[in-house]
Amino acid sequence: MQIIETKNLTHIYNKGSVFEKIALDDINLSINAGEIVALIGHTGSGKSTLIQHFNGLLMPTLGDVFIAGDSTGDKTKLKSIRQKAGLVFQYPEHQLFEPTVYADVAFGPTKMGLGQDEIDTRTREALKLVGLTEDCFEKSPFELSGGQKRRAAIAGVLAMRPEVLILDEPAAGLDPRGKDEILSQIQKMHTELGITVILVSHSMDDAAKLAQRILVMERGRITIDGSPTEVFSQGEVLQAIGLDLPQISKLMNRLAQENPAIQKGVFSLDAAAAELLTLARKGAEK
Amino acid sequence: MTRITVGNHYPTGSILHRTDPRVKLAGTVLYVTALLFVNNFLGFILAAVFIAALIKISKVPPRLIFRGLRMIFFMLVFAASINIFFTSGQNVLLHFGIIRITTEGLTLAAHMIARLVLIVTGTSMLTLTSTPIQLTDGIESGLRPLKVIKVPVHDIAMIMTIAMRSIPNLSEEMDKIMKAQKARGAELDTGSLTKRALSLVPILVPLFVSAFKWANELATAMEARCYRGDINRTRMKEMKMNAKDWAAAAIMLASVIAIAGTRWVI
Amino acid sequence: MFKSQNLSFEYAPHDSNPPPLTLKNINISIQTGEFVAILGHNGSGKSTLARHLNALLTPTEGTLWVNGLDTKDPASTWGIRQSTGMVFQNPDNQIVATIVEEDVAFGAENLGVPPEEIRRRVDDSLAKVGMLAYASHQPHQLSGGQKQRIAIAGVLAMRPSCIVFDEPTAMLDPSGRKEVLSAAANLNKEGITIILITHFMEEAAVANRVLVMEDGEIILDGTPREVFSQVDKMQALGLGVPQPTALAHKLRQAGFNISPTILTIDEFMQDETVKKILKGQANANN
Repeated sequence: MQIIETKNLTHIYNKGSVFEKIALDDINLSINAGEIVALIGHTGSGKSTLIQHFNGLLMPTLGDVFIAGDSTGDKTKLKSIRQKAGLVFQYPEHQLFEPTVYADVAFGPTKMGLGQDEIDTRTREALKLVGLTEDCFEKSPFELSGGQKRRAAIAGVLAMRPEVLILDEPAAGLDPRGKDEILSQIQKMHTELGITVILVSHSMDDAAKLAQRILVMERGRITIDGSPTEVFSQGEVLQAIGLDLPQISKLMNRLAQENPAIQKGVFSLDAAAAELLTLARKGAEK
Repeated sequence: MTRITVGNHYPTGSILHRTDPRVKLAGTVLYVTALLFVNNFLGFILAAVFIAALIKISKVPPRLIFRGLRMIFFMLVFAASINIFFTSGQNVLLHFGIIRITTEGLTLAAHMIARLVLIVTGTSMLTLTSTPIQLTDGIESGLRPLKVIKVPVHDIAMIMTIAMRSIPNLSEEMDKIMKAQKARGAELDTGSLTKRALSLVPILVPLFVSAFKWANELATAMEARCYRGDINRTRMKEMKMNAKDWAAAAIMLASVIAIAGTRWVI
Repeated sequence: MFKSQNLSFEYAPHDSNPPPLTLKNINISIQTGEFVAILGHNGSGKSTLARHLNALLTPTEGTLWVNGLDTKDPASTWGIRQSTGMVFQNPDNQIVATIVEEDVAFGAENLGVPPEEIRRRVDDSLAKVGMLAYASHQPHQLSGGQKQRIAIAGVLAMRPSCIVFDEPTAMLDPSGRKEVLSAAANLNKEGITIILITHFMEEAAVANRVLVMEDGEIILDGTPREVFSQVDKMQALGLGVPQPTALAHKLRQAGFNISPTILTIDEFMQDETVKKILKGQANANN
């Protein structure tokens, strides 16, 4: 089932003025329920504009966006669309405002007009999902560490029980430990909840760790759409538009130039080691 | 991706742009004062010619100047109507209930419109040809004599500079926060007045937090770059009046006196 | 350039939010012209140490000398801040003026440098970071990488002998990161001491010395090769090593005689054992 579908989606900023800029150019995209997709592109490629269309924060200049079959142009559906497509902005911890972590996470469900019990259930569930324990609930969000704050903010969106979770640079600015924690938690949510995940990033390494499918954006268009291995084997194309490969893919693509038996586009450390060991074993057998 | 420009400076590199901001500031103040003296059309025509000449010299596209006028359109209509309808006078042109349109009323209204239009175009010439920094520097330097009576002139100017610097940051931040809260179901523009006021809390709290963080980090960065008030501080762009500036000042002064002087000529 | 003796630091108790970061007994000496990367998690004390280097903070116990000046001596403060410039993480939160060249001039103005000299330094510094063409732009219209280069130019105009970068690339996209890093590397070639605090192992690999901090102490200190060859230790710390180093480590664990000091893709490609594997001539344990 398609959870997100865009038809000829075009978005033009400041239409008709001297600053007119085509941010999205005729995008036709469909994302199936349960996918985990990374959206890659450098600053200004249109990533942020695209994801803001997914929950009706921006409206297409031309074309349509459908979330679970409903057009974002349908005003009566907007509320349910915003609930279905949960959007976590870059540095989401900047949006925390309630006196306690618990109250902040409960903000979304409260706005949905749910009963008190349901709000409580969802709030606790969301906090648990991001790995925040009971002792944090009554703390001020500002007492938490950087990584915890970010997880609290993500919980605030999860508490609305979205069908698709869209995260803009979820690991930006965190230290390596915080980064790993966030990424593995996203992975966990995907497997445990079966939720669709869209990860926006300019880090190929992060994308490689999680995604089953990678979309590369350039100048408002989706220029590459494929599995990580497919995408990362096109090193030249990516570098031409100013994107870096994961270090391991870069290395493996270089090795593949020397010996074509090596699989291009391999991006995980373990797969790369396995690839080289297989090659060595074959050599030894000869 | 913000398109906000701080102030509405429009750089063309014209001689007017290069004129000392103090001359322009003082000129504007005198020009506005002179317009208050004007009570006949000769004065307004003179002022209009003066402004037209400045626009020509500045090379700023006139439509930018008229854009400023569009914003005060309703104010103009309002001020004019009051004058037209409620001025008592001898020469009644039209009488309709309590409304009397008189020649005096029409004249006053025309004066009012001319005055407002000329004041707005004149002041926008100042802001179009000077950067906000030049203006603050101009004010700082122009007010320097007040230091003697312990007015913290430098600090005031620095506060103005930083305030201007914060505008694009804060507006960008506010835009982000609003979107983020909307995505969490916040409704910002529906409901009763109290409801709307309450709906600002999720916007304002994070905005304040972020503004304080910004101020705190900026202060650290300023300290790291040896800022300690105006102790031993120099400026890259020292304001020195050169011959051209003095000439410009003289021309402005003469024009302003001529404009104001029309009051006594006719 | 820097020398510390038993430097310890504790945030005053009323500042206990965020939790007190402390430095414990730091003895360190850094020579003029070095390029030192400091690694460590958030809360390990990296930023606190950085802020000592230009007397934004002063030791609670022990002493730190910058070019022979004691940072605790108030008379030395301004001299120390002139000789040691700082570039911070958030590009938006360190630019003071609304015009690029005015901002670059700010530090030199505070030092009381004569106007013509400031003009020369501003042009010179902007040229060094490749931003001369943007002298009269408004900073908020620049990209993150460009803003950071403006911040660097602002420091350069103070003619420092050292620049401390406190996670200058954490908020940038890959192209912005490259811009900032190459600016830092170029300045080092001109003899300016560079202290780079970072979470990116690849960035640290460019330095000629790496310090690793944990819980307020310096636990590793050596060349990138010495530090990163301790793969297990770095991974246990949750910091990791550059990817080529990690892959080499995996192959070595599988019994191949690959150099433990590989840092970059090029070095990996040059390794004799790797060449043999590629040619299918390698055996484990040779």
